[in-house]
Amino acid sequence: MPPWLTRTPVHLALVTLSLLWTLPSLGLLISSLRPPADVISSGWWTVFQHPFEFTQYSLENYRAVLSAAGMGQALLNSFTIAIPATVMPIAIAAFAAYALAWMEFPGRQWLFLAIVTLLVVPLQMTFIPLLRAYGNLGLTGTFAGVWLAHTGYSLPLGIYLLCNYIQALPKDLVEAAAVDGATHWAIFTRLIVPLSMPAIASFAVFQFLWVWNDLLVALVFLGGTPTVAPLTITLTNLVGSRGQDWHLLTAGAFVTMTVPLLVFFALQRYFVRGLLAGSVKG
Amino acid sequence: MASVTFKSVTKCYGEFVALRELDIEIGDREFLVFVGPSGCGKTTTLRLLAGLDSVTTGDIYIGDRRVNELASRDRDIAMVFQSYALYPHMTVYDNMAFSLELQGLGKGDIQQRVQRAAQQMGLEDLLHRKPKELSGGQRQRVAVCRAIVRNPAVFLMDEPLSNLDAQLRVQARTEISRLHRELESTFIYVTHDQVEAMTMGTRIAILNQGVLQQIDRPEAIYNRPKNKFVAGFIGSPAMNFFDGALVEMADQLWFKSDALSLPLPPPTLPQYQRYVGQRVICGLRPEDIHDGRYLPPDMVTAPLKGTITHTESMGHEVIVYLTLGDGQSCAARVDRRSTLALSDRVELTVNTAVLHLFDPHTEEAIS
Amino acid sequence: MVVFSKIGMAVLAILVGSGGVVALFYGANALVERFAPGQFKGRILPWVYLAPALLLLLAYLVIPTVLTVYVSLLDARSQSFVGLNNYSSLFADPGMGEAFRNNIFWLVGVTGISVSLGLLIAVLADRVRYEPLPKTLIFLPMAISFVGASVIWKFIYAFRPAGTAQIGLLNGVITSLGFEPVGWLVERSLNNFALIAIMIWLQTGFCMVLLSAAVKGIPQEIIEAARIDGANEAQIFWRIVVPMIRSTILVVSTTIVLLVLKVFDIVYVMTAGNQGTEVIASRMFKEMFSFRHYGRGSAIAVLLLLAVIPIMVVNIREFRHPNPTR
Repeated sequence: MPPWLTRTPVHLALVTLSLLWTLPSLGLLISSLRPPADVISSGWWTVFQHPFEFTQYSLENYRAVLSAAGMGQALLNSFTIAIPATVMPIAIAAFAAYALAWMEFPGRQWLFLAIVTLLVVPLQMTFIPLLRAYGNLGLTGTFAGVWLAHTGYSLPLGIYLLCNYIQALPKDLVEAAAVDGATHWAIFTRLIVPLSMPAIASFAVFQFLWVWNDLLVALVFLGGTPTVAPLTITLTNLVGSRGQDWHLLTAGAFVTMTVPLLVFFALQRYFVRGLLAGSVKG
Repeated sequence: MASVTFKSVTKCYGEFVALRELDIEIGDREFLVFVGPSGCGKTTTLRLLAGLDSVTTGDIYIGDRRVNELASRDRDIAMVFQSYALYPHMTVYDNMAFSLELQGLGKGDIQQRVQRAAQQMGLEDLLHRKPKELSGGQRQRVAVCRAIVRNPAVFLMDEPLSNLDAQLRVQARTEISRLHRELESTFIYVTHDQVEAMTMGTRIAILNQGVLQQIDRPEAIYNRPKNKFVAGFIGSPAMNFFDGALVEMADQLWFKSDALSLPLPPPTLPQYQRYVGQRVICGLRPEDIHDGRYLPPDMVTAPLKGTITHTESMGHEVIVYLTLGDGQSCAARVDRRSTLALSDRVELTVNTAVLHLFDPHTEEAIS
Repeated sequence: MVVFSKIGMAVLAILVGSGGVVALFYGANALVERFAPGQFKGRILPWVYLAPALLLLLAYLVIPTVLTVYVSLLDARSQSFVGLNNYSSLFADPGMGEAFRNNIFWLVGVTGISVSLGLLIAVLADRVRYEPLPKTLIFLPMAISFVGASVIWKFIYAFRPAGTAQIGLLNGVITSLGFEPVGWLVERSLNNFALIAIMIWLQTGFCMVLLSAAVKGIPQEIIEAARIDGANEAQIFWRIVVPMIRSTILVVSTTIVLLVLKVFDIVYVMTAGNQGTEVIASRMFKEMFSFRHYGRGSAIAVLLLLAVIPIMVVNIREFRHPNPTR
């Protein structure tokens, strides 16, 4: 057999799997661009009968879902939740990781071990007591409440990752800076943070996507308040209340996906590294 | 510019004693080299002085100031690390400017001082490069430059040449010696390389297993080692040691072993008197064993017989290894014209004026 | 403009949240540097850097975990002590039994299929020149939230009565082949698998990326040595490749297991746990918010923790000591 023939099954399998994996998203994208009447009257694949007839596409669904269905507000809310919920754990975890890696105090090893142990705690374990506390403190339905929750939950992973990375930086560098006259603050801001950027970026991408895509934490701590609901909650509500409005659902789903997809294509390297690193998240 | 004093400094890591009761006074503008085998405590000494580790007991002074509790940054020192420890994310310029910025100097001042230091080390053209764009030799110069730009009271150097190839190392050695003359400040230098120690130091401190063995000028260490360890550590090939006894025959002291019989020079008689009839160790440097045909003039000599087991021709000299009649082996550094060959039974000539005798129990030099 | 004021508010909130935490550290550090006496500075500073992390960990993980264990021993309203009653009632409850059973389906199905598919794609893609393309396409769903994925698949599974035009891809295919359309999410024999397929679609890319990195980490010489020793491609795969990436396979599998144990979003959005699709996490959500039975909700959480611990231990251990061949 000629070599190209023996390789045919390989190509065939790869092409088939790729198509299979792409079709669902493709269907969503095409449907979201079709007029509402078309979406419910015929399958999205019928556009391929004459794919270049551009009158069958429009952005009307997006306009509708962003304004009427509250997706615009939800998009803003998602940013408002996800950005601080990414910055806060990075800052807090980085300081803690530096202290654990390069400052001397009794019980250092023990403390690190205790923090890593917390990786096993499933979020579900914490909801009931926290909900009660939130109720008493009036934090339910506030951005600050979600920020703090996401920050708390991400700290074991963040500290674990950053500490491993920061610890592995050459000891000589830190000592050279100390001899050069640097305080801990200067060592941290001028040396450790710039040198740890790859790890910080990976963790940032992971954490941002995790928060952006999260439904559970938002449902538990934000409840149903529409003024603070992120995209995931709004889309879930759309499914429940207007499950038959396919044109809104498809466009809405695509709105929630745009930001992660942008991050995916722009920062693929950090994205993969973040995923690998985050694979131990509890 | 400052002196440095260690007052009975001890450093323990758990059970392990890295440094024991170190007492040293290092004068202003001195170039002191700490040398010893790995694990002897020389790097520990430097780190204690730098404030990177804290002493277990004892005191360290820089000038008149006791610095035990002082943070590194307040000790007015600069350090060159074995790995150079250049900040990888900063340019050469920023690496040098870093400590000055932390001192709160103005931009103009910083630029002036960096430029001057860069000129001194010939680095003007590299100021905008990152460390990873530099060769090994350039990195080493940047590391030194980063230290001199601060103009500290004391320079600390931890094996700064060990990552260079042989040729660059010779060059860097002269460069550091030149800097020491120009900067007129105190240098403290750690190395395991005895050539660096002998060529650069105004004084050498030899450490072994955390204990100071001897501190003196290089030639004094070479000519009058205080104990067997120092004698064996300095000099290459190492000093030969023979087990034997001290005997007196016909008003003459002799070192005798089964294969050797060496007369000691008359002026040494009184100091050896109490070892007469006892076992001693005799140390003989390879360069004091000669091929009889190429003997320097005016030398009191004695014969040494053996079989040659190995020869190394270095070009400017020949090193021969031989086994003596009683099975002890020794090395000799002979004239390059020598034609001694493997398996030859030969008789070499010993310069008996430079024998070193050691007590076999304490291993201290007998003097 | 309303829109601008909304955006302004959002920006403000982001600045306050993000800037606040940095300012906090800066201020605390400056205070210690200025006011703490030299002797104590070194001792206080580490705790200043650690304090926010430790406080949050205590508040959000340690204390709630302890409390949850305690609450699981109390009744619905947490008013009286009921011992292990919540646990025994859980095990007696048919709904909970169904959730356990489904979760086991999920564990086996998702882990088995996405790990094997991921490995297959990793090995196949390694042999073609256009490797990045299929890998990117298959990895892409990783960026999509469970909710977004659920909407995508709701559309795949959409059901219209026979005779009308199908808009769901799956029923479109089936009817064009002459079969009756199927209610994928309603049929009790099918709906769990329909949901599991979504998770497989999402997670295969993750498995593939990790396994692909491990496969590429095998030194080429070892493969060549095996080839010279007379091994064929299948033998190389089973006797060289798989044993050498064993530890990665373990990490990937345990990671998927952990994820699936806690799966919630997909079920919640697709079926809300109806028609026999309940899983442990959605059940817990229901106990908390629909039945307001905090005792049983907590008991489920504790069971989840107990299930997670051994897997997590394996995972962290393997993660910390990766493949010894590299």
